[in-house]
Amino acid sequence: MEDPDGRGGRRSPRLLPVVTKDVAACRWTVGHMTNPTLTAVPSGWQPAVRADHRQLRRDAVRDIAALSPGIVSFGVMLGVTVVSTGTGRLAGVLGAALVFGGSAQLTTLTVLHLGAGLLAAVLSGIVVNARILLYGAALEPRFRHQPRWFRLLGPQFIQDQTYLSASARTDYSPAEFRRYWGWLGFVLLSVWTCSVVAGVLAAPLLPPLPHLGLVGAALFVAMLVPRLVDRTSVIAAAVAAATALGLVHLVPTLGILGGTTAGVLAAMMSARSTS
Amino acid sequence: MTTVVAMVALAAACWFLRILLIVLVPADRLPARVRRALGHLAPAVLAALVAVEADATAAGSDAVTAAMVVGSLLLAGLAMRATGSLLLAIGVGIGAALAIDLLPLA
Repeated sequence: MEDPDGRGGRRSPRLLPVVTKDVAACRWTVGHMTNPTLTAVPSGWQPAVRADHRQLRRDAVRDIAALSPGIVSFGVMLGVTVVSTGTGRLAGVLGAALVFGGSAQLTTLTVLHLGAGLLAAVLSGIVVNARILLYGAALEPRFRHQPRWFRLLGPQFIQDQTYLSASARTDYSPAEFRRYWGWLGFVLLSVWTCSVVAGVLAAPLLPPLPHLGLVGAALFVAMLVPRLVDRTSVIAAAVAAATALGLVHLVPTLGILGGTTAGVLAAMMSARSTS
Repeated sequence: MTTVVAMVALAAACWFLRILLIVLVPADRLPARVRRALGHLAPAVLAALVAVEADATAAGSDAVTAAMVVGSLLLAGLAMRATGSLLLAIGVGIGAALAIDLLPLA
């Protein structure tokens, strides 16, 4: 479970550069079934490709395993909250699987619990989760050369942990990314949904743990530290944290989005003045 | 029933947000300045998440608990910086959460 590069996982072992490039190209073609001459490739190629598929799955599982303690604690907390607020076990579990965004789901359930209308509750959740719009923009180059079905369905797995894990793995071909992303999303969705179910089931047995959210915060701190690599990234983080902290007391649903936007703008200004 | 409808509606809206800049308005059509800005997204969003999570965790707590929340996050950051172990940093968070909630002195 060690993570020496601090990115929540390890890279695939690399072959010789030229061979890797050829294999990647070959895989891309196989994935799209466009080259019938591939039947003529040496028999040794197929096991190598299959082994690499396993490697992609291992990469995804490792990435999620490294993040699991934070994900599980947040999922359990959400499940416990669903029971304690009486907002409905079915809605809690269904929402975990469909929304795939804990903070947005928690916000919507809380706003409903406080007596607001359906539209207000859903809008609050959307605002809290608006950062996935930015994740989508940042990940777009990875989806650009994918089949249409994947471009429509694959983004459903976009959220904090999948964005951060995938953005650290830049050397995958489109076919490799598709497999990696599929496993990443599937494993995370399984861990997340099971955690919420566990929270729902265990809620009557657990003592009150109001500070369990600290585990999620520690996870984000651990993911942030390796990304503070230069002055610009430190400015982005400092301005984002300060703005989010100030904004969350004024407009709670805008804390994360507002802080993020301010941090990115500050980083842009810093980068411009440096250059 | 209202809650289930809310979850389905929220899921649909989130899916739309997810595909918007991938399928409907691909990000390569965005201005170059915006695309460059996305390079700074990860540290900014993580710091904002930390700030909001820490604030929510410490909300309504006494000064000692709030100090423990902040201190444990600093400790998690130092652990990550020193060892590079994500698990150790999260372990600090788990230990602090259990200590605050279960130990009588906290």
